[in-house]
Amino acid sequence: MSVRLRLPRPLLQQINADLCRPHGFAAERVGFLTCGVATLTEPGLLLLGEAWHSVADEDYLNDPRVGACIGGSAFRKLFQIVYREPAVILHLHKHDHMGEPRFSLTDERSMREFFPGFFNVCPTRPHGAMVLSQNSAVGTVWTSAEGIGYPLRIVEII
Amino acid sequence: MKERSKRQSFLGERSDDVLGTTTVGIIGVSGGGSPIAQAVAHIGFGTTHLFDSDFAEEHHRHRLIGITSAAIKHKWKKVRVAKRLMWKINPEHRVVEHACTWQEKHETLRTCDVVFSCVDSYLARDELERYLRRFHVPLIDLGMDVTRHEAGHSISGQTILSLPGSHCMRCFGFIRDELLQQEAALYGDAGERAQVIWPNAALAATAVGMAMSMLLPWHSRLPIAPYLVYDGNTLEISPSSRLQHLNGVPCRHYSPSQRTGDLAFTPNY
Repeated sequence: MSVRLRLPRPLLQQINADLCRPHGFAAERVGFLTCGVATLTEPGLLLLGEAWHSVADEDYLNDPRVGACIGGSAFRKLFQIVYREPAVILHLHKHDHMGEPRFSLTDERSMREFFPGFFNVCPTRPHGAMVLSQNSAVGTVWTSAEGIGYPLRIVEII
Repeated sequence: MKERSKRQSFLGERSDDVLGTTTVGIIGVSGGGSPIAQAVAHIGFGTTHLFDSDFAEEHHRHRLIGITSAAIKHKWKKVRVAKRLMWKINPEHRVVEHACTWQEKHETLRTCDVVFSCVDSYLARDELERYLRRFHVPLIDLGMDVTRHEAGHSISGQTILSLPGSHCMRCFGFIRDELLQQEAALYGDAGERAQVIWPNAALAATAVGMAMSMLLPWHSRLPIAPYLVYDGNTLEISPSSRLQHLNGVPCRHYSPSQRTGDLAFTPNY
């Protein structure tokens, strides 16, 4: 199954500006992109970026083992939004280099921990994670908490 | 780079790849849409979806690019005329005919990277823009009109880029509720709108230029104005004066965080 994301340029600029802000102790920032979703005529999903949800400074936990660690309050704030209006949730962070980024082992481990929670609050939508670089992006999207992840390779900026 | 692309190599080393993977939709392939179809085939886009339920008739001969006596005699669908025209220019180009309204195959439009709107009415434009905004699909609208005055006739037209996250056709004042109401009141009594080939050709070329500047910008400091107006009496195309009132003002009609995608999402996985 193919998964593609379509993102308005102003929204991408907002995301990049937010993720590039320094934090008091965290080495990097993370955030959440909520998206609409549509089926495609060929089996596949089209994710449509809607809104960026920044993680507040006070919701980061000081954990020097990882680039960024966020607490339950960050997730609770997001879930309050998604409870009201079902949406796809993509967890985003950025690696500051050119070329195609990759999820680190730490990224993959933490994704497995938090993404089943997305399905608890919004089981009718796929959810996933994405890592950006300065000029590229890759991601993984799951259609259920137990299912396999589908690569998100096509990101269209409009 | 392909041999045929050498004269458009300034568009960048990746231009063949970008164009080859680009999917274009053309809604209406008569006066406005047929010159777009022709240009799209020349440029070398990957896939084009053509939508039009009408067939070729004698009164289309003066404006439908690619029309032939055989097409009129055998009442070919306009999408067939356009597909044949495109195939002759570029056999590698994938062209999909939809001899129906776009609403009957609306799912196809979501896969498009840009859609050209060559429809006749404000209502049709409004419906199409609303739909495409839901799926973050850029829309380029073009159209022309002829109005009668004491001293003669005026030809006017427009090319509008409606980009999700930016201003829409309502922001530009091109679609207004009173126009929709007037159009609804005239339903069935509007008569044939005057159409001639040269304004359509100028507007179609401008619309294709808008699409190219969006897909493969060839100059970083000269953004194309999203609302261009055509004065068919002076033969000038210029940015609409309405644009100056929109500087720094966001779109009031389509919120960036508006709900997108399927209204009722039914997974197909």
